[in-house]
Parts: sequence; C-alpha cells; structure tokens
Amino acid sequence: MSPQRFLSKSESLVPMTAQALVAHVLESGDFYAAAAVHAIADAKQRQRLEERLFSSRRDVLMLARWEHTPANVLDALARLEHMPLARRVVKHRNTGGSTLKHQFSQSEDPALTGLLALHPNTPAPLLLQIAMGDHDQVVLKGLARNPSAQPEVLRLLAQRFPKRFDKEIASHTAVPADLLGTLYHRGDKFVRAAVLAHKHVPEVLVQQAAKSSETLILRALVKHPQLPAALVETLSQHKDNAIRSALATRADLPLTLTARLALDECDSVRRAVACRTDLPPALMQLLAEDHDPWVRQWLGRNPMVGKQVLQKLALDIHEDVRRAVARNPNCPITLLEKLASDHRSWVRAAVAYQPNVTSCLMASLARDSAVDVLSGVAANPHTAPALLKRLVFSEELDVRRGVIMNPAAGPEVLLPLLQDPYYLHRVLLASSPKLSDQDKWQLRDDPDARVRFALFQWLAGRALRPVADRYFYRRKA
Amino acid sequence: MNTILVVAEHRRGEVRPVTLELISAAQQLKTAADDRVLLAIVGQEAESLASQLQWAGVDEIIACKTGSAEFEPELAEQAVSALIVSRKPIAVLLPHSVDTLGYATAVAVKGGYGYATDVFKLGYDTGALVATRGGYNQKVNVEVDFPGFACVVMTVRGGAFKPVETAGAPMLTVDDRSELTARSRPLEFIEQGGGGDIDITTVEFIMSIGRGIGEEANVEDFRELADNIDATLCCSRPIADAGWLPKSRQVGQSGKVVSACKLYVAMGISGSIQHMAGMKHVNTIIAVNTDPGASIFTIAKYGIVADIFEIHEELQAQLA
Amino acid sequence: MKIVVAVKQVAALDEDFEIRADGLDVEEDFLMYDLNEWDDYSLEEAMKIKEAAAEGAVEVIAVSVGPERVDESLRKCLAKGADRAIRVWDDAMEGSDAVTIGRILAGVVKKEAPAMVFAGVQSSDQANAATGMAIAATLDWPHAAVVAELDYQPGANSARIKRELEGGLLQAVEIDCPAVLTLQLGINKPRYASLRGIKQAAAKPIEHWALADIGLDAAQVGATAALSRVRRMEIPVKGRAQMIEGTIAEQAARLIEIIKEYKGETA
Repeated sequence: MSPQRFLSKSESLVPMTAQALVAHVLESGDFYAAAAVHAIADAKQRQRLEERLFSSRRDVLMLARWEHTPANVLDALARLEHMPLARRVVKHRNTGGSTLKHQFSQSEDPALTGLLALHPNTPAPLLLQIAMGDHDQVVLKGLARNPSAQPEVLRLLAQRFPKRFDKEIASHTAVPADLLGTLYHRGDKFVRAAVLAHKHVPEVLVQQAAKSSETLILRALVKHPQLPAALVETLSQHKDNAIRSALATRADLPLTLTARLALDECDSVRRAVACRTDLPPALMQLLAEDHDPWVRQWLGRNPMVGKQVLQKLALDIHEDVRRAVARNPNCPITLLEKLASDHRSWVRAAVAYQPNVTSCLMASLARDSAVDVLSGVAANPHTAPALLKRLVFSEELDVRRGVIMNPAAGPEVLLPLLQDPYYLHRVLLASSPKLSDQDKWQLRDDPDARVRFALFQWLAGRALRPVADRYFYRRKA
Repeated sequence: MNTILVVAEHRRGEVRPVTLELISAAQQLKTAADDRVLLAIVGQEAESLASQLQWAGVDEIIACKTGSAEFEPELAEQAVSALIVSRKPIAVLLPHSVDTLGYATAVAVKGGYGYATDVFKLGYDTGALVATRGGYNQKVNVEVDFPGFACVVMTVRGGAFKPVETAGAPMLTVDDRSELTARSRPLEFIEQGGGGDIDITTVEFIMSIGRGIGEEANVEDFRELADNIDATLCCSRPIADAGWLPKSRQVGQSGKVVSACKLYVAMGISGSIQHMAGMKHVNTIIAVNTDPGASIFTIAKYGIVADIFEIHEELQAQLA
Repeated sequence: MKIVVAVKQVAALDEDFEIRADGLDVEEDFLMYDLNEWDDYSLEEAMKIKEAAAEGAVEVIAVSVGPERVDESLRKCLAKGADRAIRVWDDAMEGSDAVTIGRILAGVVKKEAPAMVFAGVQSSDQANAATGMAIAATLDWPHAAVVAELDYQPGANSARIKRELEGGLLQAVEIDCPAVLTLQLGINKPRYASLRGIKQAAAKPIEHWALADIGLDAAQVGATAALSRVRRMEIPVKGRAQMIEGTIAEQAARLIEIIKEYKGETA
C-alpha cells in the first residue's frame, strides 16, 4: 500500500498549530486526547480542557493514578478541592517538583511527608527540610533510600541520628568520601563492606581494610580497582569462592594467576575466567573442554575467542552453548550459516537477531516456523523490505512487532500496521518518528483510548518543537 | 451438640496436606465440649485412605466408598450431600482447591445451604457464623454471614490455618455409595513440562527481569543466577522484543500469565500495568528496585530497595 | 448448534480507595470496570470451535448479568466475533451473589439450549470461582472446573478435557455433553479484536433480557436470594511490601533465606 493511497482515506489534514490541535480535541470531546494536549493549550483552551477532564469525580480519581497522566495534568488535579487526591498525586511518578512542593505546603495529611521523601522529583530544599525537621524513622529511612537525595541530606541524617541510617547511607550513590570515612569507623562489618564497595571510597580505608581477615570485607575489597599485587596473589589462594571469583574478573590479574584460576575447583571462578578478554589460546582450549556448561557459554560469548574454539563450541551438546556462539559478535558468517539450521529454535533465533548477517541468510531463516526466529528476522535490519512487507501480515503479533522494532523498516512497510489488531502496536507507531503525522492522523478515532492518547501526545510534542513537520509542508504544497 | 463436617482431599493414593489445615479450622467452629468433628473421605479406596487420617480433633472418620478411585465431581457432590442430609452439620469445610471448585458450588446450590469460598478466617459473632474472604482482587477483606441457613458450606484457603500436628484415633464408619453414577470419567494424570521449551504458566519459581537490564550480557548474568537458585528466568516485553529471551518467557499482557507461580522475584521491574497483568496474582512477590516508591512494591510481599546489579553480584557471591 | 459463553464485567481497584459510608462495599467512584481476564480465554475457546466448523454451523453467544455499563464488555465480545450478546438485568438483581448470577445465567441457557456452556474459572475481582458451577448445578448438567485443554467436536455427545491440578499436574477426563466447563487462563491464546471487528460490533445489537424472559421472579434474585450476606468490608492493614533493610549483603542474605524457606515448604 503506497503512502499516497493510504492518505486518500484520510478526510482531514492533521492540525498544523498547537491551537488548531487543541481546538480539534475540544470539538471531539475525547477525554484521553484532552489529557495529552493539556500542556500545549493556551489559558482559555486549558480551562475548557479541564472542564472536560475533571467533569466527574470518577474521572478525576482515575487520572490521578493512571500511569500515563502528564505532569501538568497532575498539577491541575492537585489544585482541585474536596478530592481525596493528594496521596495519589504525590505517589505518581510523573508529578513534577513544583506540584510536590505545593502539596507539601497545602496538605495536612501526615502520610504525605513519607511519600515525598520517596519521590524522585521532590525538590532538593524540600528533601533537606524533611531531613532537618522530621522525626519519623520510617520517613527518614525512606529519605536515605531516595536516589535523588543529595549529599547534604545524607550528611544531615548521619549527623542527627548517628548509626541509625548508616546502612542506608553507605549504600547511597551520592554519599561523599569524607562521610564514608565516618561511617566506616563507627560501622559494623556490613557497613564497612558497603563503604568499601562504594565508588567514592577513600584510598586510606582500602589500605586499612587490606589487613582485615573478615570475608565480607575482603569480598568488597577485592573489587577495588587499586590493590597491591601481593594482596592479589594472597587472595587468589583464599578459601572463599566469592573472593576468588571476583579476583578472576580483575583486569590486572597476572597471567600466572589466570592460569591457576582456570583450574579452580569452583565453577563460578572458572566462569569468571572464561569471560576474560586476555586469555591465551591454550587456556581457551582448556576452558572449551570444561564440564560446566556455563563456563563454555561464557567462553562462547567471549569476543576474543578464535575461530577454532568457536567452531568446537558450535558443536556443543548444550543448546545454550551453541546459542552463545551464535551471539558472539565475531562469529564468522560460515559458522552462523551452520547454526542457522540448528535443530533448536532458540539457537536459530540467535542467528536471526545477529547484526552481522547477510540478507540471503535472513531470506532462508524467514522460512522458519518458530516465532522467535521469525521475530528476529522481522527485527533484523538486513532483512529485505519485500520480506518485511510479508511479515507485516504474520499471524504472530510478536513477529509483527519485530517489524515495528526494525530500524530499517520504512513507512511503506509500516503503514499497514496502523490497522494492527494489537493496540500496543498502534501505540508504538503513534510515537514512531518513521511515519508522518499525516499518516498517523488516521489513529485519531482509534477505538483504543491508549492509542489516541499516544497519538495526541506525539502531536502535542511536535507542536512544542520549533520546526514543523517537513512532510506536512510538502503535502500542503 | 453441633456437628462440623470436614471433607478430606486425596489424589493418587495420598491424602493432600491441606486436609490437616481443615481439621484445625474445624476446631475454631466448636462452641461446646460435645461438638463433633466428622472427617469424610470420598472414593473407591476411602477405607484404606482413612489410615492417613488419624488425627487429634477428629471424632469420626466416614469413608464414603464410591466407584471411582480418583476425584469425580458428581460422585463427590452426591456423597457429601447425602452426608449433610444424614448428619446435619452446621458447617461443612472443604479445601479451596481445583477439585472442590468442581463440586462445592453444586452441593450448596442443590441443598440450599449457606455458601462462601476461599475463606481465610472463621469465627462467631453473637452466635452467628462469620467467614472472612478477600474481595476486589484481595484489596479488601469481606466479612460475610449466613442468616437463616442451618448449614453453611465453605471452601477454606490453603495456608490460612495451621495444620493439625497431633495424632489421634478417631472411630471409622463406612458409608457405601458405590451405587452412585456420574457423567464424567477421570482418566489418566499427565505431568506437565519436560521436553521442549519450559512452559512458564506451569512453573512455581520465577525470577524476572525488565528493561533496566541494559544489555544482553546482563541477561545472561541473571540467567546464570536463576540457574543457580533453580528459578526460571522470565522477562517483561522489551527483553523478549530484543531477542534476549524467548517469547515464551515473556510475562504480561502480550506474554503469558504465570498462573502456577508461587514465588516471583522481580528484578528492576517497575510494575507497568502490562507486566503486572501477568503476575500480580502471585502470592509471594519479592521486588528489587532502586525507586522506593515504584508501583511494584504495592503488590509485592517483600521489597528490597537496591540496584539489581549489586544484588545480583552479592547473591552470586553468597551462593558461590 | 450454540455455545453460550458467560462473561463478567469485573471491577479493579487501585490503592487509596475508600469504603462506602455503610461499610458494605467500596465507593463506586473508585472502581474501574473491564471484562474479566478469564473471559477472553473462554470466548477464544468458543471462537476456535466456531471457526473450525462449517460456516454458520456454530453460533457463539456471550451472556452477562449487569446494568447498562456491562454493554461495553459485551461489545468487546462482539468485536472479537461473538454472534450475539445478551445482557440480563433487572433492578431486583442488585446484590446477587455468584450463585444467584449462576441461576440467572442458567435461565438464559435453558432458553437458548446450547451444546456447551463456557465460563471463566473465576473472576479477577471477587474470585468466588462459583458462577460457572452454579449454572451447572441449577441446570443439573455435567460439569468440570479448571479446564486447561479441550478436545470437542461440535454436536458430539462427549468431550475430552484436561483439568489443571495443583503443582503442574493435569488430569484427563471424559465428560458427557452438553456440559458446563470453567476454563483456565492459558488454555489458548486470546485474539485482539480487529479494527474492522470493533467497527462492526458497534452496529450489532445487544439483546436486553429482563426477569420475565428467563422465567424467574424478583424473589429468586438479588441479595435476598443469596447464600451469604456481606456484613462488613474493610481494608486490611498490610498494604505495601515488607521492606528488607540493611546493606546489600544483608538484603541478599535475607533474599536467599526467603528462597530457601520457600523451597523447604514445597519440598
């Protein structure tokens, strides 16, 4: 179906300006479209949109918890009176900082502070205010877990309640180095281990911890990028499997130790060795014979593994090992061709999703019957457009979605999917930059509200951008 | 003197453990010392199965012999209905199970008894029997009573009552119902799974990953972890769309509903409606997420606020 | 021949809802209505039988009990290919329990005389798992619950089914027909209605039946005919997850502990 023919179905042109778009929505009375264009409406239009959106208590309650409700609509909701909305709005992940601040100052609900302490958009001064004034342990613990909490908040908590929240603070990504030192010196082994595992850990603590014999401490320590060579050597003999496994991932591991760990009796140690990119050929050969299938799988995925070893692993009895080879970025095309006829579909699917294939190989995989393989073919940029045009009509919705995900699928391939029975596919296309706004405009009367919302949200986003859709102007001319 | 009738459940020659929970639930309905608890067992081998029912708190075991060794809904219904008529219990307790789903309603409807299913709390309020069950997908507790009913049939949720632990020596009565007929015939049992891809609708322990996983190598890391703890690795849509896990492992609206799952470890899944549609019913959900306010925590039983990669590393270390 | 598919419009709740002033139900404004999840599967199973048979040989009828809002859910069934949709309602039916709803549906079945009746195993809101079996009990038809596989030729006098038991076990059963079956999630892969189907469904009529049409009187339906009475509804105290505290090592250790506890229980 050509884009032109498809367009001839459309009776109207997509509104060009924000104002025209909102006017269309107001005329249609579409509730979800109204939520989508709220952000681009002028004051007068906005008032009319809100009349539509907030006409019943039922609708208002629904909007306050709907996962797609935009921030500006939530803000308008928060200002409605006599509605049990505050908690819903403050819980909503789309709610913006200023709305949250407003809620905090307006509402008397004691539960709100706890919810604000957890919200990623709560403004920094407000978080600080909670850290300074609040006494509720649950609220403060939540605050210490909030990824948006800034160093001052953590510092304040550590000061006001020594030890109480140290575990949470030590696990927070924003904790500064000096505070880590404080926590380390007053902490138990768990706090200390968390401090040592932290990316801001001061060097001096690492030195101190090196003398420890506590397993938990050493496990954390062994992941630190700078360790004295002697300690690396000692730890390679440590009886704790986790310590040796972590050691086997270290970039600075001397070859002699790598060779020793490749023979370690613990599976997880050898698995870690199999992932190393500095393995000499002899060790690769050795690991390719390992009895643990996970060792062979990790080796199969290792980008430094040579052709010969890959060839050997491609014959492995374990399906996941053969799949690993097919997923190796350096798997030669001849080997991929062989794996493309593997008797297990999950191995063939690995080939179908490979970026290093030929359109010829894709054509042969397209004759497969397994949905995983066909989905891979549908999503693969090397698949010929003619083939994609056929897959668009697959019975399997996963295969059709594969085409939507295909970076090389152009509008001529995608257009028929605007009629796809599965709403999610229409949602994806409504926000796909590959289709023109005019093509998408046919979704304006879609029976599924989520599709209409996605369309109008996309169009509203466009209206906010300075350069209008080129395609549109070409049409108009 | 009141009578409480409990119906035991059995399959392939074994009494199912939920029966022991019903025996202790029945004790809560006793109001006087001389109240009696009857334990019925229905089937061709009812008499020999009675040897597995020697528990304290049971006054009498009634072995209802029918023509079918395994459960058949019409035979069970007729046998239990006949017992209600002859023994006049004030309450009949059945497990809320696949078998009773097939006949408990028929017993209540045909006999005109009070009826409630999936009850997890029992008691009396000023003499009236009160049962508590869940409503609105377990979001509320609903207390129901049964005014005007001399007998109430209830199916009881598994795990709601502590199983009886003390042995007893109840008397045994045989009730021969081998003349009963039915219009369905149980045939063979079939074990699911084995061979081919795993059917995630039948597995009980699942670990699941979502969009936050980032790249394919991380998927493999979690697959290895799942392997180590004997869980099946499942995913939300973006992972299957990327071809990183088979479509058959996708949980949610465009994937599958993991109906048999009992333990679900959600790694970095925020809880979109799409995904939750496939797993929100699971009894024990453990959610790991960096956002302490993520909606997944509203349906989870346990929550861990943490980075999934750190948790992964730590789990692997502790399991090594 | 006909297949009757009994469907329900269920109500879902989010967090932060409120109980009605009389304490007997949730305030209506907080409820969000949708077709019961199980019903997608029952309808699909009926559609599969219809599509495998000769054109026009099988008629699929979706039936539901409820007020006007239920039309929207029935419309969904029509869009997926149901031939007819019947909504039964009378104000006297307000407060009916699952068993009473089953009695009302049985009235429709008596009139339509189908060869099969399908219902979902349970509804996602009240989960009584009783309605389908109440239809069977009222009609005294053969019945089976939690069917995960169905092998049935239209018009045959028996069908082979597999019931899904606890712990991943299936049981094969032969059952005489006509029968009432409650179908389990996953028995098939429900379709999505095509845009054309949705358009056509908008034009199809939904039959509205009243008490008289099913030969019942007001005393046989509604709250007074129910086998239980709601005394009180309350929001349980636990809501959010129990948070596992501590550093990452402690959290991971507790997680392993929970997994081990779980394995111990089911061993």
